[in-house]
Amino acid sequence: MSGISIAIIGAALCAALAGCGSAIGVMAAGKAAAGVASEKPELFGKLLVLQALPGTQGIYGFLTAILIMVRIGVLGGAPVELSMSQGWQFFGAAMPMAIAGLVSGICQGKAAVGAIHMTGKQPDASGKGITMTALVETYAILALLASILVLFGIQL
Amino acid sequence: MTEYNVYGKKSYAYAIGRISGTTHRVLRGEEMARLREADSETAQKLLTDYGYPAVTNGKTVYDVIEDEKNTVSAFVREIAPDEELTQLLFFEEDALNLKILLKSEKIGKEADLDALCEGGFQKELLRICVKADDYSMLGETLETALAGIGNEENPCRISCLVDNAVFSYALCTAQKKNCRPLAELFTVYGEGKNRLTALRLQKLGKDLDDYAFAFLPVARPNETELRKTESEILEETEQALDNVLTDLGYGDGIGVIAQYYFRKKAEAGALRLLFAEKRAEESRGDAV
Repeated sequence: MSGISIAIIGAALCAALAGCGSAIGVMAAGKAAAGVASEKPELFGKLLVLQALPGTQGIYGFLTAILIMVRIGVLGGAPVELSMSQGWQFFGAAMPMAIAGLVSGICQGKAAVGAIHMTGKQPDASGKGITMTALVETYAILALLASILVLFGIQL
Repeated sequence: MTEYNVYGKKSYAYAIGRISGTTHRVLRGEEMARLREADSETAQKLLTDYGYPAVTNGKTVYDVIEDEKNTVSAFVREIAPDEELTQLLFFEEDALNLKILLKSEKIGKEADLDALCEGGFQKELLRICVKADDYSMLGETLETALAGIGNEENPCRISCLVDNAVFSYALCTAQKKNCRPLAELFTVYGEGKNRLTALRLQKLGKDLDDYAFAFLPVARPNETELRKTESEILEETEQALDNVLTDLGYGDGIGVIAQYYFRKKAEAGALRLLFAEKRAEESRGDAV
């Protein structure tokens, strides 16, 4: 397998895993939000914010994948010649965001479900719910930073 | 939007979301305290403020409480994703229906099905089973437990046997379906009932061993527990059930639905008692 193939697999996994994490998280939050909105439709705006929160991991994963593809020249139409070692380096750079994106997306979804149920019971507490759910985001952002730093540290 | 299906299945997250947002919420401690302090008329108004239907059109406050209980029961049936597990939550209602049907049969009268409460089993199905003295349609556990009940003449024994059978069915089904929250709830409930049964028998001066049939098939109170005072037993029983219900609320499955339903049922009982006490106090005041 060539270096470029390994780098492309890394980029694809990063977008796919982080996207899956977000999809699962948003789905769980969506089910809870649908339940609350059935009883209190006026809370839709507050619930939508909570449902959208686990969606950011997918965006981070997509961003990391794009950055990898830009660096290896796939997007520009002129792929760089990569050694096996360089390919694995790109693959490794994608992993923090891929793995943390998957796990934190699911976990943030669970936190969002709890916050949505809390909002259903106490609509005024939605701000607290958003803060609690957003804390999970920290780890996705750290993983994104790690991926970007490693990515731009790779010597071509 | 009354129903939400994902590939033909309702989800627990959705069901719990509906419970979180429902207007038929469980009353808070301070709201119950306010109801206790108020006079009957103010308490009725407060109850309406807390989401209960208004007491109008010749209805009494007891009708309103009953209506709310029925609404909650229908709501739980509507939202719960697992029908078989949800049915277990209504085991007390099933036992009551069976007792009424069996005793009506004994005295040769036809029970009014409309007067029976909505349980887990269809009322018509229960009626057919009682008429035929054949409970095979209710499943193996109930068939075995209720075998020969048609020949039983003692109404007290009939009640105990039915309670035992329906409780065993609920507990066994929860265990078979690997539903830990319900199994735990039923066990604590059963142990509490056994403590109360022992207390009643002691007060009547009866030997507990002569009434072994009156106990549910879970742990019976030990010697130390039997030596406790009445208030201690009542308080501990209530506390144990409250603790298990609180724990169920932290889950994300049928436990939350069970917690909601049992708390609403307890609320209905507490409100009925509260208004009955108020009425008794007021009639005492009028007499003086």
